[in-house]
Amino acid sequence: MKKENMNTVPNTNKAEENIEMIKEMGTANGKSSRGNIHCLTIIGQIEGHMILPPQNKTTKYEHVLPQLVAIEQNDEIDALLVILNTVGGDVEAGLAISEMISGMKKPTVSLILGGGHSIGVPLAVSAQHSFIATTATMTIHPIRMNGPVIGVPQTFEYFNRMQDRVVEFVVNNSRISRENFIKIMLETGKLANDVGSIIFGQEAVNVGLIDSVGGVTDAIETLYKMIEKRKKGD
Amino acid sequence: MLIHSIVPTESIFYSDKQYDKVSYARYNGILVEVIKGDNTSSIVRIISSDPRHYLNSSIQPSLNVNNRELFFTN
Repeated sequence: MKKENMNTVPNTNKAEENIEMIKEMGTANGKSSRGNIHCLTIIGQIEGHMILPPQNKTTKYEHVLPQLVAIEQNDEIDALLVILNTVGGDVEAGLAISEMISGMKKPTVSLILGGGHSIGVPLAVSAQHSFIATTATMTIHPIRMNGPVIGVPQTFEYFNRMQDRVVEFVVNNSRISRENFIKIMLETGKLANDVGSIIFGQEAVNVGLIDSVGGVTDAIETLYKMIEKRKKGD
Repeated sequence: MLIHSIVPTESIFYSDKQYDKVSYARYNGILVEVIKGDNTSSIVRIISSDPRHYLNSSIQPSLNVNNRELFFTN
């Protein structure tokens, strides 16, 4: 009896301490023994150099970039989960975040829920492994420009070069071929009033853009496996 | 500026309604977006990659926090 008490007392104390922590701090000591995963949500419009009107829900690059640096250099963080539900946005800001994620050494996994459209495509493929929910969609279409456009052939050439930045990044960070991506992007008759295509979960995997169809459990499990592999390699 | 989005640019830049201006502040080191009031500020969202910050019951969206507990960054 006495022995049993001795065993249960420290556990009860720990449980009470945890409950106290949730009550006092509103936090749970959520660190898993398999690794500490940080989660970055990329939602709404990707905001670039201009502050968008407040009816837009935005992801601001000046918030995201320092967080990515902190995740990469902090010893307490083992991996990054990027959750995407974005309608696209600024090309420069989108590519900046994508380049940061693809340049990270720590395990990274992306998960598209709802939609990963336009500049959300390079963001989705930037992680080491990408997931898409069955019901999620991706719209692949050419970039546009707002403001005055000079009607000369050079403008077309400029657009082509800007488009190439996105295409190159997607091709280099996924299994899709350049020809196939451009074919999907320039498809006519798929979108009501635009050039491009809309692809669903499994289709995105079939064309080689996304690695697998899955949900949050699959994404976290993949990260844990990547953490284990990395720890063994160290 | 190059926009690559499925939302038409006229919808992105259209605004006829007055919205509350948001401020950014730190609460115990956690960056939060708030609507600043005279004495208290209303939390709009948490900006953090640490999932545990989202479990903090004192900074859930729509809650009012005393301005003395916030360190405003703008």
